[in-house]
Parts: sequence; C-alpha cells; structure tokens
Amino acid sequence: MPSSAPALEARQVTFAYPGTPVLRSVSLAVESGEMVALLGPNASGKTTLLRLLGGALQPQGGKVLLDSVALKGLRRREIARQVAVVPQQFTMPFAFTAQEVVMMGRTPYLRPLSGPGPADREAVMEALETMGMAPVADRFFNDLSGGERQKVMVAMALAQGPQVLLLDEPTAHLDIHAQMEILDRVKRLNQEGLTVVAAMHDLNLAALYFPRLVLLHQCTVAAQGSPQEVLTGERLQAVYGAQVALHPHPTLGVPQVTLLPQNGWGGR
Amino acid sequence: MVEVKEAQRAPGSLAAKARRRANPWVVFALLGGLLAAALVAGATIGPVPLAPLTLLRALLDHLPLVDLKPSATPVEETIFFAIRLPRVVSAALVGAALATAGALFQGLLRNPLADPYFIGTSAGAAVGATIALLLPFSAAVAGLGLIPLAAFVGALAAVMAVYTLAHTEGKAPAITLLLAGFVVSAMLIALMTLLITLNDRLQLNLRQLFTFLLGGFGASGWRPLAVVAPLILGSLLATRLYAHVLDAFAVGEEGAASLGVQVEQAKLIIIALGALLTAAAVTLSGLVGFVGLIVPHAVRMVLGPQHRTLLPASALAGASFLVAADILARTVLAPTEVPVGVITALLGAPFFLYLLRKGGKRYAF
Repeated sequence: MPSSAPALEARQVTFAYPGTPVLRSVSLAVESGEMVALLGPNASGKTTLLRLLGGALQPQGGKVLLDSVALKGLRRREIARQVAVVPQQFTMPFAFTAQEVVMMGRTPYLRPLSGPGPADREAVMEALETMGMAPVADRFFNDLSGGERQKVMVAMALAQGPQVLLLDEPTAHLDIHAQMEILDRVKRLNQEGLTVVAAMHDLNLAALYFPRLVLLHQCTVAAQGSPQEVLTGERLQAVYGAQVALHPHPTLGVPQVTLLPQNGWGGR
Repeated sequence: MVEVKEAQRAPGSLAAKARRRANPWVVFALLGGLLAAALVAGATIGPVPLAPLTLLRALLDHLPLVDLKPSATPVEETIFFAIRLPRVVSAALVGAALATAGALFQGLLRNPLADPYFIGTSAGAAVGATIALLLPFSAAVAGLGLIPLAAFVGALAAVMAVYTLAHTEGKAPAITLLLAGFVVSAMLIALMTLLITLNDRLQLNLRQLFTFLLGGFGASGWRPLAVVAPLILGSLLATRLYAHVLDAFAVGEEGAASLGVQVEQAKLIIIALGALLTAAAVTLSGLVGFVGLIVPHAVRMVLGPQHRTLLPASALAGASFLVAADILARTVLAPTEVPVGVITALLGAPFFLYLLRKGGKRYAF
C-alpha cells in the first residue's frame, strides 16, 4: 500500500437527515489504486457515505479530502475531473443515444460556446470501447438492457477522465451474467490504476471482487478489512439479524455467505 | 474470460435499431428556408394582397445607400411597413421565444410536459393584465401599452414568487418548482376571477381582457418591438451558454452536480432566461398556448435531445410555426380574426399526435 496521502478520505464525517442520524463520525481513507466495497443493511448509510465522498452532500461534521485537499474548497468542475459517480439505475427523460449519454461525461471539460471537440469525441469512443459498448453507441439509451445501461453509465463516468470511480450499487437489478460482467470490467479498470469505491448490496459479489470491505452499521463502521476478516457468521448475525453459514468459494477461496432460513425449502 | 455477446443475452435490445440523427446543418438550413417562406407569405397574404417582389423593392429602398424606384403605392407601403411587417416579425419572435422557453423548462425539469407557462407566468400575466384594466387611466411606457406592460411585470413577479417558495435550504428541487408553480397559478387565476366578479368596470372590459388572454398579433407595431425584440434576441443567444449544462440535467440534479455543474446557479439562470422569454412573448402577443409544448418535441424527434441543436432549431421552428398559425388566424374566417392560440392548438395537436403515433414506441419524449 502506498505511503502517500489517501486518494479520497472521509475524516470523522457526520451526517443526518432531519430527525434521522445516518453517519456518526465515520472515517474512511481510500488509498490510490484501491478497490473498496461499502456494505451494510438497508439505510445503514452506504449510499450517503458515497454521496459525501462524491461531494453531492456536505457533511455536517468532519470533512472529505481529495488528495489532501478539502472537497468543500474545490470547484465542482475540478472535482468532476477527478471523481466520477455512477448513479443507480434510471431511465433518461429524453431519447438520448448511448453515445450522447457518454458525451455528458465530458461536461466538466466543455466550454460554453464551443461544442465538443475531437478530444471529447475520442474520449467518448474510448470509454464506450473500454466498456464494450461501442456496438450500441447509436442506440437509444432507454432501449438498452439493464446491464448495457449500467455499462454505458460507467462509460459516461470514464469519459470524465477520473482518478476515482464511485459506484452506487452497480449490480442492483441485473441478472447474474450482467452482474459479473460489470464487476469484471470495473476490476480490470482498477487493475489499470483506477481507484474504486462501490456501495454493494450483495455480500457474495463484494467478497468475490473487492479486496477491502467496509461494513456500516448503526451510523458507524462496524468492521473493515479483507473479506475473511469482515464476513464472519457472528458479525453478519449481529448486523443483519440473519442466520447464515460461511464457506470458502470452491475455486477462489474467499468467503461466501449462504442463508439459513428458518422455513425454507423442505421446512425441516 | 468468456465474452458472451450482449445481444444474445438481451433479446430486447436486438430489436433496438441504431439511431441516425438528421444532419443538424441540413435541418437548420431547411428551417431557415421555412421561416423565410413563412415571413414572405405572412407579409403578402391579407385583405390587400401584396406582391413579394414589390415588397422586396420597398424593403431594399429603405436601406441606406440603396435607391430603387419603388413600385409599391403609398397605401401598399403603409400596409407593409406599418401593419404586416411588425406583425410577422412579432409572430416570429414570439414563436422563437416560446419554443425556446419550452425546451429550456422541459430539459431543466426532465419533464416533457413542462411548458413556458408552467412556472406561473401565464397566471401572473393574466392578473397583471386584469389589474391594468382596473386602473382608472391608461398610459404607455416605452411604447408599450399598460396591459402588456402589466402582464410582463405580473409574469416575472409570479415566477419570482414560485422560485422563492420552492427554494429552501439553498435548493429548489424540480418537483417542488412544478408544485409551487401549479399552486401559485391556481391562486392567481382565482384572484383574477374574484377581481372580475367584484368590479363592474372590468366586466365591461371583459372582451378586451379575453382577447388579450387568448393571444394574438392584431395590435402589433414597431414601438413595442423596439423594446421587446432586443430582450428576446439577447435571451435566445444567452441560452446557448447553457446548452451542455441542460444536457447534463438529464441525469438528474445530483448527477449534473457530479458532472461538474453548479446546479443551483445554473437552474436560477435557466429559469430566469425562460421566464424573460415567456414574459417578453406575453408582452407582444398575450397568452399563446401550445407552441412551447409541442415545438421542442417535434424538433427532438428529428434532431435528438441534445440542446446544442435543440435550442436553435426550436427557435427557428417555433418562429415559422407561429407566423404560419397567424396567417391562418387572420384568413380562415376573414374578416373575423380567430385567436391565434385556437389555431396553434387545433393545428398543433393533430400534428403532434401524428408524430407521436408515427414514432410509436420509439419516441420516449
């Protein structure tokens, strides 16, 4: 792990929606080149932490640092050139093509009067190719499958030319093939040097792809470390209130979670 | 790693055909030609038909350093310069302003049903005009009559009220703006009805108010244009600065922020530009409906939703559409003039529905 300052750091951030505390003095340092998953039950604050890291929300206490500079003091445009956010699944209000959506990623580089230049078009094509979406460049975004849309959204984020990629539940609502494909591609980007932080719902997928897991519970970090360190039966019972068994993945060895329902099939 | 073709996995997207947008420059040229044709038709058609070449000579003769022997009679010249020309120019400017304002608001709010009046402008203008009729005097400021002037002020005041009401903790979310606009409009319309009910004077002038509210270009002249035209043209040009920002709003306000947009500042300026365009249009023509709603949709179907092409094309198409609608308004039942808003709706709605059905499922607004 590099000894330089973290690429992105939340330092004792506190955040509450009116009447509902979400995060209480949470600290998280993400080193350059890391791939980190934020885990936790629904409403545990993973998306909120992600939004704080991306500057979409301002912490009510503490601060977020990008390369040791407080996010608050940076212009939106500067942040957008370094930190890209892949939002959760949604549809476009108008009939934009995939390529036009990815061009939105060039917003922080566009000047008001000149349209996108050759450099912008090149960045868009490169991002589409990186995500394997060049063949659907001219199709309507809203006509694409869920997996394709998600890859186009990642391509949009890549067109920003970021150091850090933030993903909000990138595998939600996708079939298992699309889940693997998106995470395979994100992993490859990480291996090429991109820092990745993702809010993840699926513990097994998180264990398969992310070397470092951060488990949020009751407004704080309940545990963090490797999948082996974080995913234990007792801890998952305590955090999620669910009976589970853990066993090593047959080929990769990382822990995988199996649910132990009280009234499942066979009803034993 | 196994690379399975996405198309195999997602049969739905196999059917999705690649989209070829029309070349924007070709479309701009066509729309420019269309507008020129509409302007010529608007200037020549009327109770006294004028020949296009006669008008051209008269027009060129008015330019400095040009001395042609005009073939138009003095009466024809007067009709052309004092009546027809300001009328078609007003219609073109109003059409451009309303279509552009519609495109701005639809893009900003990610809502295909937003029109230039959603944010309180129409109701504000109506109340302004009503109050002007209540006043015991009439006056003209900078060539503008009291009614259009009061409508302009009313429209802008209503937008400011809506924006202020929707603005809490440094933010004015789109849905709150829509709701506040709706509620303020409803309240203002009730206020107008109350004023009319309570005041005999107003009831006598109801026809005048009604005419204004339905919109039209019967009273066009150069003096209001001299004030309003620079306002409209300046605002139209300024929208160009926000074209790429409006594209980014398609991913939502938070998405736009993470793309580097100063969301609240951009939103305030875009609303201000849209409100100015609408209020300026109201000043020239009263409340003309439908243009701002359908023209941007029609343009999107041809050119796609990117605002760099959508905004200028909407301005050109809106201008042509309203000039054409105005020709019909004054000819179909001549000598009676049909309110132009009636024409825009009767003509625009079927055309829009045709486009919608032809586009079928492919057109997701």
